[in-house]
Amino acid sequence: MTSRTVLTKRLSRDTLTTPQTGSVAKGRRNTMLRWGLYAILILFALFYLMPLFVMLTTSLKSLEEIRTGSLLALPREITFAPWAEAWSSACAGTQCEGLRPFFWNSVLMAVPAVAISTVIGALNGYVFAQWRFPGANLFFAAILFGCFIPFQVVLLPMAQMLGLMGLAGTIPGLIFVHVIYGIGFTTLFFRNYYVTIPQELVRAAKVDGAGFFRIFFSIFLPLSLPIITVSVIWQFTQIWNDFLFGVSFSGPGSQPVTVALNNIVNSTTGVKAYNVDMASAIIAALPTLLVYVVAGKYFIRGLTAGSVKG
Amino acid sequence: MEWLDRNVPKLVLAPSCVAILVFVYGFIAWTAWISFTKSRLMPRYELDGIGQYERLFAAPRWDVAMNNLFIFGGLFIVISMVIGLALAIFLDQKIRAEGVLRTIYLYPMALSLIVTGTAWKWILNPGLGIQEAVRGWGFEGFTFDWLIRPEMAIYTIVLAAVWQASGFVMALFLAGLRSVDTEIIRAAQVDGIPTHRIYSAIIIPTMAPIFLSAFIVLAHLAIKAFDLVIALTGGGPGYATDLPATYMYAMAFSRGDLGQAASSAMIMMLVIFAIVVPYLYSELRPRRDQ
Amino acid sequence: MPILEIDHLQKAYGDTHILHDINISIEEGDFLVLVGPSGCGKSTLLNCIAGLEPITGGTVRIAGRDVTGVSPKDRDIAMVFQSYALYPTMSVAKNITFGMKVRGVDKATQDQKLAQVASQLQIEPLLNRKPGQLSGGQRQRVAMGRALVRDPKLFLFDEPLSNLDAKLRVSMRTEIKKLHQDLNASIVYVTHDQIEAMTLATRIVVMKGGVIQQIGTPAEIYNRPANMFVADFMGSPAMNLIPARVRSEAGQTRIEIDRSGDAPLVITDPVSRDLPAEIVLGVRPEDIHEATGNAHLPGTAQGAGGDVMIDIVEPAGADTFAVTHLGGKPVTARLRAESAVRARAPFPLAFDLSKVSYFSPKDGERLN
Repeated sequence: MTSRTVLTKRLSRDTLTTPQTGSVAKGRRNTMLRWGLYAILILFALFYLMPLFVMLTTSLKSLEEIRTGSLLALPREITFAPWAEAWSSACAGTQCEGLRPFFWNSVLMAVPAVAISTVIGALNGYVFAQWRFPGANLFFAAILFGCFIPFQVVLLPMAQMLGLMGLAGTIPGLIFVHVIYGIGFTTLFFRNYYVTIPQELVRAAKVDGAGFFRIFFSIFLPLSLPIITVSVIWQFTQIWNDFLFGVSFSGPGSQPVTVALNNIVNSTTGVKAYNVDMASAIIAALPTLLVYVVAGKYFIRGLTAGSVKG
Repeated sequence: MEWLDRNVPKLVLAPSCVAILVFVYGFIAWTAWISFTKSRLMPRYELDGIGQYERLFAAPRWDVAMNNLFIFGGLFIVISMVIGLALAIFLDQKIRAEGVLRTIYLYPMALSLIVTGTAWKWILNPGLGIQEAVRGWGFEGFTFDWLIRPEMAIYTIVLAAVWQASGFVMALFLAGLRSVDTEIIRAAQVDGIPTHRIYSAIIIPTMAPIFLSAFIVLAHLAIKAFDLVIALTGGGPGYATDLPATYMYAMAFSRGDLGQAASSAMIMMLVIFAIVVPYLYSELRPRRDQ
Repeated sequence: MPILEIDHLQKAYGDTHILHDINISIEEGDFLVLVGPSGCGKSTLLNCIAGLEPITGGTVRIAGRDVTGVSPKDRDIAMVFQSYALYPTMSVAKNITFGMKVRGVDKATQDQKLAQVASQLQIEPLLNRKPGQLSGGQRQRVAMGRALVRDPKLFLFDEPLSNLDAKLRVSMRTEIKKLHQDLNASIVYVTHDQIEAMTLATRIVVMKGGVIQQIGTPAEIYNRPANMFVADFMGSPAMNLIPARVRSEAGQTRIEIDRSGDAPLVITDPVSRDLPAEIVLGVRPEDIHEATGNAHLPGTAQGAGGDVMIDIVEPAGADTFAVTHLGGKPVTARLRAESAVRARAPFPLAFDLSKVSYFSPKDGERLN
């Protein structure tokens, strides 16, 4: 299908005023095109769904069935044993407690880091949007720029710094790192949101006698639910899914779930338990998938806001 | 009190600015400095010229990593854009169940690259994965063993990365298509402009900024790609799928070669700068008057 | 004691001067309108009075107190904004009482003042609504309520009617005027609409390019504009500005105006005036009459019967506007509705010279 025919259809559908030539031959051709269109769209949907399907079915099969059956076949006999093992007894390196402790590490890391970076981002965005001062743009550019650096460039000094602060290999250390490098995005979100609120509101409140924080809490915060949602979802997804900081700065007791998953999958001891690997992968993915399913609209808004400014 | 009143905004901003100054710019400076020293296992601070960079560019492993970056980056960006644009245009045809399809196309973006890597590693595994499944359907000669072939393994990373990001590109383009003013299209149609001209002269040019954004985001993802390689190939076979990010990590944490880690990180940053700085500059400039 | 006194106020961003040496003084109960084209600095001046923008030089006094550098909340002012700036998440009642709440006024007083203002503005049924549920006119009332409830020394209005449709604007204008009379409030009001300025003000400040062009009562501004800018800006249709030559002879002033396709039109001002050879004659459309039957007017056009060629006739109900060409410029006359004037035909016109203004073509300043 060429883009031209696609556009033709798009346009003819949009404009009822355009006389439809509507000959029988053309109508049949259009129907064919439409079926082709759906076929392509469904094929792509299968492509995107396939890995999830494979993960899920594999995680419900016994190792025996995996060895003898096909990757794409549904399980003949459903077993939840791999899930139990993944959760509480699979070996990540030498530690054989499953994903559970690491899952909680991730929770303990993500929740405060998301909360702190969102609060800081909201206040920063409020200043940049509504309390501009000479040079503020320069600071904004500087903070924005921090969103784009490859983290490799701060990895070495951060490792040293965490050591100096006594936070090396701890969850607070990871929280600290995620907050620092999350501020750029949260600030960007809130700044772009607050910039759309007329400045006269702040002026009116100033004349009414309210100060910086009063205006923030009474007027701006109640307006912010959508952007708070976007920021929380973005930060949560980023932090939960992070691997680089996790693998670089965590210690044996503080590894996040992504690091543990990688360790379980690459564990060399014993028989390769693909079903446990897949169950582990789903468990690690579950929180962000859940967020996506529940609040997909805000997830997409975060993605696009994070990439296309404004 | 008056002073405090007037300066509250600056005081609120100060901690973030200091943090960014130290932890972004200070750290970049530190890394840059180290890249010009003889640091190995421990940081040393006497400057020693560009020795680290000479070593870096002489290292065959770095050569592979940079080559891989161009192969991976180029294919990843082009394929994701093509698929993304095609899906966006297809989805824009008043498709039934558009919401469901969109949700399916985009969900991989919510996954950790470690999860993606783990899943694709299992699917592409020649012993029990897709190769075996297709052979099971009767195609006995079917071979799909890229994962274990050094010269092909990098393409498995492209495959998994495209799977993860193309839905996102679709979402960007779809938003772009929907933002084209239908009145302009109608006006052009009433003027009797042929549809392919409307397409090439109106819709595509309006979407130019979206192409740019998509390119920037994808390039950025490509250069930072680390998790996916670790989970999917571990950089192997051998170091056939090393990327600058994994090279840097290996130097920093397994080889204990800080000088090489620092200089490779600096090169990564320069590559990103070359792409992002012009973009950021053009984005920030018209906003200055606000 | 003046309620507002602005002394040598300057405002600049770096090298860009926004306001030059502003001096204004108004008494209690005055309704001061700042008027001018967009970008003339009138809103900036209002914000400087409010303390929302710092000033670069000079002083601002409100009720005798020097408030230069004092923050807006301590200036005893209230302000109504162009976009109304209602707090979107608060109900109408909360919007109105927010200022009192911030200042720690007790609940009973808040309620009592709210009730009083609500009945004054007839917005009682709206008190529990959110701003998003109100029409433009209702928002406007709430914004005024928020200002009134504060009972300040000085009210500031920043183009409060510009977001309303034409009909509502007229009725709100009347209401603001009534409010001003009832409360004897002191008001500074910014607008770009000269009709609004004329109808509301007790005093008008005309601004252009950050410089005050003229300060005066509406009548002064209208009848004796200080320069060609004010003459052109105030009044609709605008004052006719006609290039002319002057010859003084025997206690009279003879004024020659070029007329297309005919000899120059010569009119005689019986008063001897000290005018340069080249002037611009400023005459309002309503001061140009049909010559017939108005022969007693001092400025009746002489020679060639005072006929001018009429280009266009625009009947406008109560009046008929006739457009001709004099001195190379289109000139509009406001004639009676039943006038026999016809387009593309000569018609006798007379200028009421007791009301004309003379301007210097060099600097545009008034000469008489």
